Amino acid sequence: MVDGTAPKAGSVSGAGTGRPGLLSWWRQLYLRSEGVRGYSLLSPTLLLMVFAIAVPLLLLFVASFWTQHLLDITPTFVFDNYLTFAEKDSYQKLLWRSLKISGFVTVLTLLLAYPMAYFIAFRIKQNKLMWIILITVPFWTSYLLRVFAWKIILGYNGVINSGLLTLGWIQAPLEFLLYNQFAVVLTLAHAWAAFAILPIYVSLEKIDRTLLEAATVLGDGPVMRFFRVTLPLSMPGVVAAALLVFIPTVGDYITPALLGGPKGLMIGNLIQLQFAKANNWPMGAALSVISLLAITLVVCAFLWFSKRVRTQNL
Amino acid sequence: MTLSGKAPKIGGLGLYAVFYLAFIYGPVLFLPLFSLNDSTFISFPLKEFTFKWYVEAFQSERLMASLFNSVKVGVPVAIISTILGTLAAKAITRYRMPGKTPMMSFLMAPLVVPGIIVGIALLIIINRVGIDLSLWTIGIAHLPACTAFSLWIMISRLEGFDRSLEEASLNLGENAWMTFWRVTFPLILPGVIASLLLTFTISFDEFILAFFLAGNEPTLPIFMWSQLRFPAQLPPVLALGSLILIASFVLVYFAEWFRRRGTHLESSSGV
Amino acid sequence: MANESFISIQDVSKDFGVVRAVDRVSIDIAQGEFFSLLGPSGCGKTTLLRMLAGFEFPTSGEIFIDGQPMSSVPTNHRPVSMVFQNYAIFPHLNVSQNIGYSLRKDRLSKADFNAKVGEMLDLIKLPGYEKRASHELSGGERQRVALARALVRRPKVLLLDEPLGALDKQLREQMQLELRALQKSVGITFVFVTHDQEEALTMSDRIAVMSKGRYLQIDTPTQLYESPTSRTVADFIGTMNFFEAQVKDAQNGRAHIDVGPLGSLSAPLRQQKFAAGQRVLAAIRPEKIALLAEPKPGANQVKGQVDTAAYLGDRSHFYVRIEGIERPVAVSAQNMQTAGPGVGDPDRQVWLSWAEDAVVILNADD
Repeated sequence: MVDGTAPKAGSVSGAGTGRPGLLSWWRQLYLRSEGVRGYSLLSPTLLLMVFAIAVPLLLLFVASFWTQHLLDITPTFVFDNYLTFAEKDSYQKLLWRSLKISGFVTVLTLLLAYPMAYFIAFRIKQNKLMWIILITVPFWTSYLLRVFAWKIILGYNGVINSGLLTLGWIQAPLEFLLYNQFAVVLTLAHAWAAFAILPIYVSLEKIDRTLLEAATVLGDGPVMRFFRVTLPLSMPGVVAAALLVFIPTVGDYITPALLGGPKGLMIGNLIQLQFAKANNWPMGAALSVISLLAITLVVCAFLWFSKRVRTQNL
Repeated sequence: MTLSGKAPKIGGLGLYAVFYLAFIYGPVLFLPLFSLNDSTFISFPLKEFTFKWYVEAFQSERLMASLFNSVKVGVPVAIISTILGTLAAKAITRYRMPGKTPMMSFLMAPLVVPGIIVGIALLIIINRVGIDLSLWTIGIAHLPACTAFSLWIMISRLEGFDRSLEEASLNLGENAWMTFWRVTFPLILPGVIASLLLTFTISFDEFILAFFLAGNEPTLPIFMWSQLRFPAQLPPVLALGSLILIASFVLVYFAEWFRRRGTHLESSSGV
Repeated sequence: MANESFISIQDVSKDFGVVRAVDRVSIDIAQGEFFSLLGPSGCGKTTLLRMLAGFEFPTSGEIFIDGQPMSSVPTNHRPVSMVFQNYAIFPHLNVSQNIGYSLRKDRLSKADFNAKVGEMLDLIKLPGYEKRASHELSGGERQRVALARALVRRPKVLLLDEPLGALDKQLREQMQLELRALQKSVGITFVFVTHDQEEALTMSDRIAVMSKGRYLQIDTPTQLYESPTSRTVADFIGTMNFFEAQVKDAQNGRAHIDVGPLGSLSAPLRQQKFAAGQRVLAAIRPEKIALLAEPKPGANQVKGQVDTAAYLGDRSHFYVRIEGIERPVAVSAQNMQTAGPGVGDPDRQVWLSWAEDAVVILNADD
C-alpha cells in the first residue's frame, strides 16, 4: 500500500472479522458471491420492470374477468367478456384481420429489407456504419409523424392525387389509395423497416466468408450458393426480424385509425374504443389478453415451423 | 453514390438500395415541403414559399405548453432510464449470475409487448390505485421501454469493456464508487450520451402510451393528434412536425455518432 | 516469524458452481521472495492469484498477508498490487495519469506528484514518457508502465499474471532479467503466474507446480528440475525419459531397482520411502545421458541404435532405440566439436551411459 497507510489495511481487515452480526454477514456474502453483487446492481431496474410492466400486465389479466356497468367497475370473476368475444363475429373478424395485416406487413417488410441488409453486409466495404445510421435514424423519430406523412401522400387531396391531377393524368382523385388495408400495410411496412433490417444485417455480417468461398469451390453458382448457404445461415436474423415486426404491429392503432377507414380497422382500435366511447374497461382488458394469446400462438407456431424448416435443411 | 465508393461494381443491388432509401426518407420529406407552402390545403400544385405556419405554430400558447410538457417528461425519463439501463447492463455484463438469460428476456420485454397493451394495463392499475393522470403517469409509462432501450445500448457498449481495467483501479486502492467515476464512466460516456439522446427522443415522440395516460396536460404528440382532425390546423402542425423531425434527426445522428466514436476509440487503444 | 511466511495460503479452495478451480492449497511465501505459480492453463494458478489480489474469495480456507486474514478485505484495502496479463492500461489516461492513478488519495502537490511519477519512469527506463497517450505505447512499454503503476504505491506484494506472455521472444528474455533485477532492487515479494516453465526456472526463488487445482511440488528451480517428485512435474518441466522399474531394496538413502532391459540400477532416495517389490518409474534427463561409440568399462550403460537425430546448432537431440523398451530414449548432447559424420548417424550402434545420481525414482501411479 501507499506509504504510511499500512495500519489502515490492518484496521479494515480487523473490522471485517471482528464485527459480528448482519452487516458483517452481508459484507462477506457480497464479497464472495457474484450473483449477490450482480442482483443488487440489477435490483432497481428489476423493481421498475416488475412494478411498471409485470404487475400491471397481471392486473390486466385479472381485470379481464371483471364487469362494468356504466361507470362502475365490479371486480368479479366471470367469463362474460370472453363470452362476448366468442359471440361477436365482428370482434373475431377484427382480430383475424389484425393478424392477417400484420402477417402481410411482416412478409412485405422482410422482402423489402433483406436485399438492403444483404447489400450493406456484402457489398459495402467502407462506411458500413454510415449506412446503418442512415437506415436507423428514421426509426427513432416520431412514429406519429411518419404515419401521418402517408396520410398526406395517399389522401383524397393528397400528394399523389393532387400531383396526378396537376399533371392531367387523372380527371378525378383516386379513392382507393386511402382508407383500406393496403394503405395500412404499406404504411406499417414503411414504419417498421429499420426493425427488420438490423437483425438480418447482423446475422448476415456474422456469416464466415470462407463458407461462401467453400460453396463456390464446391461448384455452387451465386444463386445456389445464396439459397444453400447464405439464406439458411441468416435465418436466425430473419426469424428475429419477423417477430420484432409482427408482435408490435398486431396491436397498432394509430395507422388504422389514420389510414385504415372502416375496412382497415384493427383489434387495437377496438381495444382503444373500450377505453373511450364504449367505456368498457374489462372488455378492453379481455380483448388485450385475447390478442396477446393470439400473438403468442402465432409466434409459437411460427417458431416451431421455422425450426422444422431449418432442421430439415441441414 | 459517394458513400459506396466504386459505383459500377454495385449494380442492381445498389440501385435497389437507392430506391429503398428513397422509400424510407421520401414520404417523411413531404412534411417540411408542405410546411413551407402558402396554402391551407396540402396538395399540389405548390403555392408561394412562406414561413408563416412556423410563426403561427410558435404563437400558439397551447402548442408551446405541450412542447414544454414533452421536455418535462423527456428529460427526467432519459436520465432515470439511462441510469437504470447502465446499472443493469453493468450487472449483466460483469457478473456471473444464476438465471441471467430469462432475466434478460424479462428486462427486454417492454420492447416487444404491444404499446397499447402496456398502456391500458398501466391505465387500469393507476386507476385502481387512485392516482390522477398527469405528466407523472406518462413518465412512468415511458420508463420501462426507455430503460430497455438504454439497457440494449449499454450492453453493447459494455460487452467490449475490458473488465481488468476496473480490477486494476480497485487493485490500485480505489473503492467501487471512485472506480466507476475514474475508469468506467469516462469509458462508457459515449454510450451514456447516446442512451440519453435516444431515450429522450423516444419519450419526446412517444404517442401510444401517452394517449392513454395523459391527464389534462397534453404532451406534444397528443396535442398534434388532437389537431390532426381539423384541416385548418394542419399547416402549423406540419411546421411543428418538421421541426421535431429535424431535431430528432440531429439528436439521433449525434447519438449514433457518439456510439460509433466510442467503439472507435476503444479499438484504436487496442487493449 | 513474519519473515518466514509473509503470505500464508491455508487450505484454500475455490468453487465456480460445480467446478473446483482450486483444491485445498496451502502455500507459504516468504518476504522478498520471487515465487512462481507454474502450470498449464486451467490449473487454477490464475484463480489463486486473483484470490491473493482480492478479486475472488476462497470458498473455504483463509489467506493471510503480513499476518492479517484477508477473507473480508476487498482488493482496494489489500497491500497488494497486480500487473495484469493484458496490462490493463487505462486507455483514456496518459502515461503520467496511469502511473499516478493510485496517488489521488495522497493529495500530493503537483510537483510532488510529478516527482514520484518521474522517479518511477526512471526506474522502468522510460524517462520523458509522461505525456504519451496510452495507445502510443508499444507492448513492452505498456508492460513497463503497468509495472510502474503497480509499484508507485509501494505494495508489500506484487502479483504478476503472465505479464510477459504478450511480448515477442527477444523482448521477453530481456524483460525476464529486468524484472528479476527490479525485484531484487525494490525487495518486494513477487508472486508470478506463468505457463512457461523456462520463464519460471529463470526468474524464481521458488516455484509451485500446479495441476488440476492442486500443487504438485513446491521447490527451488534446481530441485524441481533435478529432483521432481512426480511424473507430472518431471514431464512438465523439461524433457524426461521414463522407464518402468521394480524396487529391489531401499535403505540408507539409496535404492536398488530393476529396470528390465537397462539392468539393475542404484539411485539416490529423496526423502522417499519405497517397499521392496514396489513398481516405480526410473527417470533420467536427456542431457544426463552420454552417447558413446564404444562401451566403456563400468556399469550404468546400455546398447542401442540411433533412431532419429536432430541438429539444433548448440546441441543435438537423438532418439535411441533400446531392445525391450517401447519408446525411444531421448538424448541431448552439447555439440562441443564441429559436427561431422559420427556417432549420431541413423541406425548406428551406440552405447548410452549415465551417472548413478542422475536417476530419479518416482511413484508409478502419479
